[in-house]
Amino acid sequence: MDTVGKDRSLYRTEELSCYAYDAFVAESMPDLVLFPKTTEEVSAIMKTASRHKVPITGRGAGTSICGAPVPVKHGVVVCFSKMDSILEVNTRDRYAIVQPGVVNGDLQRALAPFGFFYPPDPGSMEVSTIGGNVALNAGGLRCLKYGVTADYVLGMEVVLASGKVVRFGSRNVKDVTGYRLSGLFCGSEGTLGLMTEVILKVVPLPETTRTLMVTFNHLDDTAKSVSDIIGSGILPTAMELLDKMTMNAIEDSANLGLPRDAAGSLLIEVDGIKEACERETEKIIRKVRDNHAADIQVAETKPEQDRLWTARRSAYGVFAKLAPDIVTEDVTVPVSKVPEMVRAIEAIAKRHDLTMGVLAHAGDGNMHPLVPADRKDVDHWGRVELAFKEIFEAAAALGGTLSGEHGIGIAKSPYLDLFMSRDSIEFMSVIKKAVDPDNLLNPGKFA
Amino acid sequence: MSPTTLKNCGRCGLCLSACPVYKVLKEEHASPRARLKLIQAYKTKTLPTSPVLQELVSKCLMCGRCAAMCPSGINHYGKFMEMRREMAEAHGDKVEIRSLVFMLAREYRLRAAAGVARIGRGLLPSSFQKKSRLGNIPLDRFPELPKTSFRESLPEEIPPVRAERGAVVYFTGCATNFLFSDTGNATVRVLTAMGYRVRIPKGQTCCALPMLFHGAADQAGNSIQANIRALGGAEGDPILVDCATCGTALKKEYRLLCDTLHLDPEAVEGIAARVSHITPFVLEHLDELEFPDTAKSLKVTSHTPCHRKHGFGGEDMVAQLLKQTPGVDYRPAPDAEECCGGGGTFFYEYPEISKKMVDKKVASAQATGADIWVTDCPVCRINLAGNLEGESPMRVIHPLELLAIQLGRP
Repeated sequence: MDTVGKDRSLYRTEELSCYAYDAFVAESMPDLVLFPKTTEEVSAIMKTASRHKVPITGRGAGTSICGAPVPVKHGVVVCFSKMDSILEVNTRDRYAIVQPGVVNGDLQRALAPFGFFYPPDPGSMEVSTIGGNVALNAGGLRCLKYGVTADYVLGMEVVLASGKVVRFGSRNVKDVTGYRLSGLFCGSEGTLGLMTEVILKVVPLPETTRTLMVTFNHLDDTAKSVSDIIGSGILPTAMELLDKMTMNAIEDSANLGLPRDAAGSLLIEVDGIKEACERETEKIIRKVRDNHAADIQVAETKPEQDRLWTARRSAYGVFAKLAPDIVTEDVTVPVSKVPEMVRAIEAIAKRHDLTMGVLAHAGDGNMHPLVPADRKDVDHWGRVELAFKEIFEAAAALGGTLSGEHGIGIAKSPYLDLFMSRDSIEFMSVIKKAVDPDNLLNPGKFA
Repeated sequence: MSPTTLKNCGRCGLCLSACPVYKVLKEEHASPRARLKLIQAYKTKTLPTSPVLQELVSKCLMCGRCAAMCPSGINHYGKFMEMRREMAEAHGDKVEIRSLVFMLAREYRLRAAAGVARIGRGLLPSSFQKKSRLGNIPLDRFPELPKTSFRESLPEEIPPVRAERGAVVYFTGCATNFLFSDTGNATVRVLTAMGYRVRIPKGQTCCALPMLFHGAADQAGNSIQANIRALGGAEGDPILVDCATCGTALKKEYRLLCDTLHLDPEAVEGIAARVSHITPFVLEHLDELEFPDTAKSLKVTSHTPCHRKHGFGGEDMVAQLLKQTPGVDYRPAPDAEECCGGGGTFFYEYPEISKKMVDKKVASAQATGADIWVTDCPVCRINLAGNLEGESPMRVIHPLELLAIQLGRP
């Protein structure tokens, strides 16, 4: 507490209870919350914690949906939200250096006047911090073309469990000097060290975008279209699938004129040079026609594009309003397995008598089943948990992965062994023990 | 499954991006999500009532932005209001806030207080007024109090100055009545110039929303009953308000209080249906105004009050009005819709947070090069005008005052 002063320390129960949660259901109280503003302060906190063997859990804006910043072993929550300066924007060398508390959306607004952007765009981007994005290796809608957070982290400054400050990587896109340790920290969920500075790659904003909304009468046609389009050499920024249940739920509440009988629809967006976008749009239209598209809409202007995006954007809210709670998942399968996975999810939902809509980033196989639920209804909640376990098993059988972009945290750690061998998990714990022998950094995660 | 009315906060955290207080402090415990969590903990008896709890729940502008963007459709606003009432009952409120509520509850008390304040200001040396602050605002930048209240200065009914088109009822609110009679006079000037007979019922009083924000439901009840009597029920001419907060009370809040305060639901619904905000009303009838060719050329920017957009609802139409007003060079500020940090008494209770917000607003309004800054909320007006740099030539006025200036003398 002495390191950051009283006005940046919280110790009263009422205040502490606001740092016991993220967007996942589980809660656990910290004993103290500290808001450092400098690397030196973070290092001093870590040194003290290490001397007294106190658990330290990092936190950004707390929008993770896997419980990653929930301090399950109590101790100190180190909240980086006030460490929020953009230290350098260098578009000539195509990088930006930020403190971990910088909000993703604020970074975008700082880059836009230079004609640049930072591609990872998680749904929480107007709230979530870069530190949190890196710790969870966040994805987003445009990942299909641009890749995930790890693809943009060039380097970082980290406070280790001992309190020592180290730097990995550099300002260079090409860098094979030593192990790529900044990559190891992407998705490490605060279990290996506390990031105090991140060097990010930034890229020029595309000249133009085109958006298409295509509906299909058969689910297989949507998947075939996705693989045909990608196979033809076009890489859209986004290819979003909405299943029949999702479209009907949206129609029930918003009345956007979505076809209720269609099996699924695809929202496709391409960006780049104007002429290239036009050629790609034509090619996409040919491909979806070959795959029996029932309806095709193309939007060129921003308001038209927003109109097409409305259905996709409103999906979460629509499902959230159907019941007291909403649960969402993010298993991921190879693109060609998307229809099989959608059908598996629908069968599981039916078997457990659950309402379940499927949204998917179809271009990268990242599935988002949405389940309106009620955690107070023990029977219903039990069926939800059972259904999710079966969804994980189905994804594993299709060669998929447990989490595409939400992270493991406490939400998914029980299922890790469905997807990783004992030896692979063991290798992770070897690394963890080497860098954090006293298990002080976000203990209780990945385990 | 429980019915959908029992919605839980999904803790997605999207409300943090909408919350002006969170944006300044970057503290979860000052966010809408945390307030919901604390209220839930209090209701389920996992957290006892305490002054700390009261402070955390009250460190809020009541701007309604969180509720407006919540994907789960949670009514933060209503939950916060109820909790503020319970906390005020359990722990009381600051003395100054309690006396404000005491004054607002009775018209004559407000009149007396305004008189005392006016004399008090006359007696204070101006050097003292420059140095002292109330909340984030230097004393000498508070509005001058008029000698007579606006409603006392006019008859109850004012005839139109041209062929009569119809009649309207004007609900003035406390601010226009006691602080900004210029707004009241301008509103009457514009409406009568359009051909409307303006009735300003004497029986009207405080809309009661400020009392409700501070948990004084009982005192609020008397004022609400008085207003219902003064405005009549479903039958009658359109009721016009010049303040978004008063408008929110008449249009939304009274309806939610029918059961608690035993209000006549038919009269309350009737009044809600008759209420319009003055700006869209005037915009709709703008062609009924004849501007002289000599209308001044003025550079104008605007500020949208939170209660206009997120409370009263709908577009504020100020931008459209400015674009169509002769002689006006409208210069929008990029952050015109951001909160100014006024928030009723928030600027007084949390001056440091409020100051950060308003300084940003002032900087970007001044960057537009405008001479006039219009806003249709009295608290925003006090807060914005109070934080302009000492020598700033910019004036903050109600949009109707701008129209009256452009209309010239009758």
